[in-house]
Amino acid sequence: MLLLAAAAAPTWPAPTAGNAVIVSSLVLAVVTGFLAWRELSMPRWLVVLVGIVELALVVMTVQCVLAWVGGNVPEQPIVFLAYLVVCLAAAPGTLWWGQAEPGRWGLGVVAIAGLVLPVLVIRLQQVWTGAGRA
Amino acid sequence: MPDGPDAATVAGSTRHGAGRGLITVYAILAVGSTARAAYELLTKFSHAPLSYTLSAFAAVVYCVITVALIRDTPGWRRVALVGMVVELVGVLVIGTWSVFDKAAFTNPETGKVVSSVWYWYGRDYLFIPLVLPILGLRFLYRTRARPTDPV
Repeated sequence: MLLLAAAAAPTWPAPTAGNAVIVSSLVLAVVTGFLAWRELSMPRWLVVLVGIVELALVVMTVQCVLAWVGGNVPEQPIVFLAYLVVCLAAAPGTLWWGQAEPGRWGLGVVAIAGLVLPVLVIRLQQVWTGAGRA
Repeated sequence: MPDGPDAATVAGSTRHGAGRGLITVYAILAVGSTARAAYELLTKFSHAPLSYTLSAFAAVVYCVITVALIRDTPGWRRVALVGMVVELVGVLVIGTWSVFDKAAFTNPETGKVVSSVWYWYGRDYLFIPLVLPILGLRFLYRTRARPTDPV
């Protein structure tokens, strides 16, 4: 029964890149959370950290698109696409938006993005495979 | 220093400080719940009309609050306040309802529980829907219009 279900259900095409996003965004969350807590200003090298998260996300996206074209189609395409857009925009978007903000919440919004990204990536896997709650 | 009555009673911005954090979380919830509601309404509404209608309602509330916080005018501030009260009452009432009346949130054909955004106090969203309106209302209260204290 399990084998039959596995053969019919779509499989998550980007496990490695997805995990890379989860790990790198958690690092981003810890670093920016610490800097925000200490009320330090936004360091320039933060761009590099956001770049690493974004690189992993782009690899994940490419693998998903290739799988989609190849017939491994997500279970809930609308939800998948919406979450994917949020994922891609989260880190650079909050970095840009936070730069304009004095005080700790400039870094705080980047930390929020770093915390939300792992959840979103797990949700991406669920809506792709249809493994989420009914 | 003679402050004008207007200047003394202006509320804090909802777009800066902790408001910026609130907007970030609300915006993400708004997109997530809207996508979920769109998928549910378009593909399988008849399976569980109650759960899916409630999901759509929650999505609308999140979108309205997000826009209101970004707009950041006295009028939109009131909209955000009303939205957060609706959100808090909604998650408490729907959450409690879903705990005590499982049948209402069950697909009669499959007998499976059909979740909703505020089902079980927002369990699917790590209970953020329960905590967020409390933080939001606290923020609005702290930045409310009031006579400026002499410093």
